[in-house]
Amino acid sequence: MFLFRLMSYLFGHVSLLVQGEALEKFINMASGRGIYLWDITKVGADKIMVRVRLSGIKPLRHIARSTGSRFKIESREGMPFVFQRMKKRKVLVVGALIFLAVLYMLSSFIWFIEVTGTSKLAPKEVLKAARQAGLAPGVMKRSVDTSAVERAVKDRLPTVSWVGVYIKGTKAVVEIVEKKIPEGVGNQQPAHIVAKKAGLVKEILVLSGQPAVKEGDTVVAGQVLISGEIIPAEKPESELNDQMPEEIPAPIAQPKYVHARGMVRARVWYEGYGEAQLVEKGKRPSGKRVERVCMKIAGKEIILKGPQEIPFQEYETKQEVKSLPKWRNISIPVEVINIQYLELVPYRDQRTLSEARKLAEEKALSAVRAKMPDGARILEQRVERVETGQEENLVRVKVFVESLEEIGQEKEFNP
Amino acid sequence: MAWQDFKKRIKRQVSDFLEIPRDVMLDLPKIVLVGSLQVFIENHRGIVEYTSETVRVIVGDGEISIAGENLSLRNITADEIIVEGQIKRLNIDN
Repeated sequence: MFLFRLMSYLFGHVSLLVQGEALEKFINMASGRGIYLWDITKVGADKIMVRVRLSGIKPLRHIARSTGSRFKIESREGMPFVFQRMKKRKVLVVGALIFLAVLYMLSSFIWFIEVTGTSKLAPKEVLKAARQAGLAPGVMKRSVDTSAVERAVKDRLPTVSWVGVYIKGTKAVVEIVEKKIPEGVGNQQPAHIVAKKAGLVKEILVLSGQPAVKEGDTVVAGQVLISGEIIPAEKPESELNDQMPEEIPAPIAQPKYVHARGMVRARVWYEGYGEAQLVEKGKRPSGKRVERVCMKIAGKEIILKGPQEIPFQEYETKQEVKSLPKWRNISIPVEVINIQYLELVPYRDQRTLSEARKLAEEKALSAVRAKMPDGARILEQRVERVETGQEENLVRVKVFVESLEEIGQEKEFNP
Repeated sequence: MAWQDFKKRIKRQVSDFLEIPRDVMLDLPKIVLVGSLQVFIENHRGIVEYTSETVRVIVGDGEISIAGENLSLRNITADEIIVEGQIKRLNIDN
């Protein structure tokens, strides 16, 4: 039906007001000849309104003559008539064409430039660099060579490590990735190196600053290891006297402040505790799972997929809610909920004393490792069972670890 | 007339035996009513009367008359008619 309407519109159709005595005959003859009539309505005693395609009008004339009726065209619809009207209103057509042409022309320029990815660099500087490379609002899209602009912007801005330029409609997007400059390099703020934690200094290497501890010293957390304050060594009195017989007051020794750098490695002790039950009871997932997808509409849940009843006695749920994005203040109360039911089964583990002890040891060691920094070397470890003196279901273990690690930490100070 | 009746009987028996739809074999109209809004008549022989209250259509060897209000012929081709409006009655006269 829609196709028919479309064809009628394309070929044009008219509404006819037919007047006559034998209108039924008129309709029968028309349909018999294969002229398609539709929307026939009676409007008066001997008048009907009929719609017919443009191609059917000529044969209808003959039919009208032979049935003794007359018809008048009431309204015209369809493309052929639209074209006719267009011919009368040439200026309108010209205006529409000009509009399209202008739209097309304007869309071949770049009107906006967006800079993304800058953090330290000001977008203005990027825009300036892009303008010098030939990318600015108002230039033709065709004249912009994106890879050349990328290269030029990257050359002009030394802190940029990557530039991507792409054109999206009338907008050019300049993506910037800035170089990450490692912090601390070139930092001249006076600083000490202090101990992160307590330990016994094993070796000390000073790059700048003045060592405040010696190998073999015990330090506590926060203690200055390498000082950034260098107090000039006082020259022995005698020497001074030798060189300058005249009494010149020795200049007051001004301490020099530097950013201390160096490495301090120390032995650090850790203690960890772990316990394990000889008989352990609990619940753990069996690996079986069912999934259920629900749709929640205004408080009501509808199961889309998955069983009605959960076939497990005990289970854990993992829920994932997907809701539609909120727009302004309107949130659509429809969400899809994906719930996973993981079956839990009770278990009872029995361990021998040595197994439990091993497990407790592992736990204690992993607790210690969590406290140790990367790069620490374990020198020695000792495990000790904690005896509570009474019979119980627990094996308690303490682990002592001695490690060699870097304990220096920079700490700025104001002289 | 007896010959005509005999021919009709034979045709019906053949169509029953071969399970051919009767409207095809016997040249009968097919009428579809959509509530009281629309009547669709297939295999007609032309209209006899059309006013906004009654529509009479010749079919096969009889006549169908539709009575109602604001009746209009939505569609008319050589073998189908769609009548729309408020349909009150539909008579089949043989």
